[in-house]
Amino acid sequence: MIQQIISLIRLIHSETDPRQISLGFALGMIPGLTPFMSLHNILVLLALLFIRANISAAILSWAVFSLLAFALDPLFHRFGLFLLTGVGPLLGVWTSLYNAPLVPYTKFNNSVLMGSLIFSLLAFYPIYWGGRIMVVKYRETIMERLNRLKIVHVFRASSLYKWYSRYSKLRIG
Amino acid sequence: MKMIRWKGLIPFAVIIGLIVLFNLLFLDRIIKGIVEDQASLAVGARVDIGDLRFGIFSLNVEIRDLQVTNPEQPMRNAVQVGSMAFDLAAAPLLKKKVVIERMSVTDLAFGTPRKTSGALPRKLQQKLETRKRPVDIERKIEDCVLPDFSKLFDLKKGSAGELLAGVNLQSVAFIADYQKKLTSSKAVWEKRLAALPTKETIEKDVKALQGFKDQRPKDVTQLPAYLEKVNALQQKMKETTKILTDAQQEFQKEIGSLKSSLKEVEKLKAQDLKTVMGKMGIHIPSSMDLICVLLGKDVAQKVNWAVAWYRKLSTFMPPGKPKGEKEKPVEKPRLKGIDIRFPVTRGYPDFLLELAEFSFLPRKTLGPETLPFSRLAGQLRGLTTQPSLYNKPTTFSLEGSLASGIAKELIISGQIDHRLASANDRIDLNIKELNVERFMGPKTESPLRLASGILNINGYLGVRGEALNGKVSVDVRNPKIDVGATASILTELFKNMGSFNITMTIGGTLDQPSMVLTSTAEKTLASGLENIIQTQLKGIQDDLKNMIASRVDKDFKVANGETMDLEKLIQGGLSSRLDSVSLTPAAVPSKEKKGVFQLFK
Repeated sequence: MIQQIISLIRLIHSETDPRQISLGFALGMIPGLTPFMSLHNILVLLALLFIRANISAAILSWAVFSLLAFALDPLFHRFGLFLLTGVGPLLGVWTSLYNAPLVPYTKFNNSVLMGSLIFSLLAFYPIYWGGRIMVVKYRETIMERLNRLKIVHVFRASSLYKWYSRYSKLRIG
Repeated sequence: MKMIRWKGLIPFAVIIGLIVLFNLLFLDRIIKGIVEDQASLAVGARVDIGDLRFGIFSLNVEIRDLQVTNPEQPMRNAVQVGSMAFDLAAAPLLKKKVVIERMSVTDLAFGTPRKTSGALPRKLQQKLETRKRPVDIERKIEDCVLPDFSKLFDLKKGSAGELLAGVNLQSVAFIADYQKKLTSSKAVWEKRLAALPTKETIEKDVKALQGFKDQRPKDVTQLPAYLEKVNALQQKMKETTKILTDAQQEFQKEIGSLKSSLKEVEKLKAQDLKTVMGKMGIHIPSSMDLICVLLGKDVAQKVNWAVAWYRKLSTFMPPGKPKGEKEKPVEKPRLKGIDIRFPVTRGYPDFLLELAEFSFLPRKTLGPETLPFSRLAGQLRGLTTQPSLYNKPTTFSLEGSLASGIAKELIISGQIDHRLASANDRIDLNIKELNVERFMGPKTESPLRLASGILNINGYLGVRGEALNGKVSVDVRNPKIDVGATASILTELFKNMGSFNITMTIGGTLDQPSMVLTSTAEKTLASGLENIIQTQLKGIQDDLKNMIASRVDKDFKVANGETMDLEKLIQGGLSSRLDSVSLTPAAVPSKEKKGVFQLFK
């Protein structure tokens, strides 16, 4: 976890496209909030690997949202139950899906899964968009200010930092 | 920026490939574990699968050595299946429906012994406890027991004195109390008698009165004084008479009450005898108790067993819902949500076994106490978890015979119809010429045991909604009954017992079944039993009666004698005084004119 946070900080400080970071974060949110052993998560995995999304951000997001899901599951259950049973026009859709091939294996008829999946899909774009803005703003403001600090200049000039940089490059290379 | 990362497909393919490979390598074990656990939870005892092979491409399943433990006897299997094989229908499987068009079940055996205990492991036991619905069955017919006849022998062995030790006899207590009352009464009356005018005093007064009569004054002037004296004495005599008469009446009343209360002793002795017998716990069984212990108990156990399995099966075959009522969602533990079930518009139920064919290969070594079939074949059709959707009842039939002449024919058939809200199920059983001696296992500790005989069993058990109804008739030919040590008193009763029939009528509900036994042997057994018990109890009763009498009678005689003595004493004292009073001269002058004239006549 600490490793993931460090790599995220490094990512933010690197030249990586903010969209990749926020996309990874948004994609990681889906398996984090929804039950992990679900068929739709294979699609998420495919998307994560196929689209240029940042995997470190996705893993961090998955861990963070998994913890959050413990608290939110009762709400997801209520929301899912409402969607599955309380919305008249949708009942026909659910019935068709229930009788369609392969779809029943997605466990879409489970209240927690339905609630959390719909919630994470609804939250996907705001998280992606918000994340992107936050990375950009961070780089423009906080990172700039940090870079201007004397202590940072001193630290970067130190042998410890140089040694660490070499070690990091070796590890990555 | 390029958004597509083609290289990313490689790790994706690798991950998916690993998942598939893992499943291919371990799927059999995974399925086996899941099936064993779920089936164990359903049965309430371990279900073991020797080997399970699942062909992922052919969708063929083959199970070998399936053992379903009997929950009542963990060291015994209720059912053992040598092998079962079936193909899963592919199209319904895409819709998550398990449909088996044809299943073959071979080497079916019942009641086979287990090498290891089939009790549920603790983990599953805990899971089961959270699922279990408590069912309180007040009293099952199989609880019928005979009284401990050895108590009769114990009574016979021990002396009546020993049996009465520590028992508070009411009759003895009464006599002791009576004697106290008598002593007290005697003291009171003796005191009272002493206070009453004595015989001497009365005689003196009588003499004085007589003297007055003889010495009538001739001088008229002395007459008033004379009359006054006579009248005073006469008044005293009258008062004495009244006091004595009242005392006599009172005493007669009291002594009468004491004497009549003494008669209660006999009743109390009988009551004491009853109490002592009651305390000895001598419960006299009815003839139906005997029938119940002899055979009814076994039949009832089988019926209860059938009901228990039916209940287990029914949980997986819920009856249809009345029109308009929604199906209840399947609840899961917290954080796992609820599975909503939507109507199945077309296609199959979630699980359907269209046809299962049973066959049996005679094997020599099935172990002792196993039902050795020489022939067994049958079918099961339409077993489903959604009967209302399948819209056909589940039917089954098994037909066979037991080896070594144990039973000529055995037919079990029936149907489970849960299409409508109210279940309509029935199972029929027909066993011809069941040889008890060969069929029964090792001798069990039972006061009465049908050691040999030929049974013809015919019956049915039906369920409509929650109501049970059924009838099982057992014809017993040439019975030989072993009477255990605790019931050896009944040996003569069952010595030459002829053929008889037992009919068990089943009613009540699934939660509270009730069973009523009737038998053609009822009257014979009732009269025979009555004779035996009466004969046995009579000796004991007489001994106890004599012992109680010996404890009471001596004191009773003393008390009776003392009562008589008291009566004689008091009554005698009063009578003699009254006799003396009666000697008072008849014509005594009085102040009245008539008296005066009478005096001077």
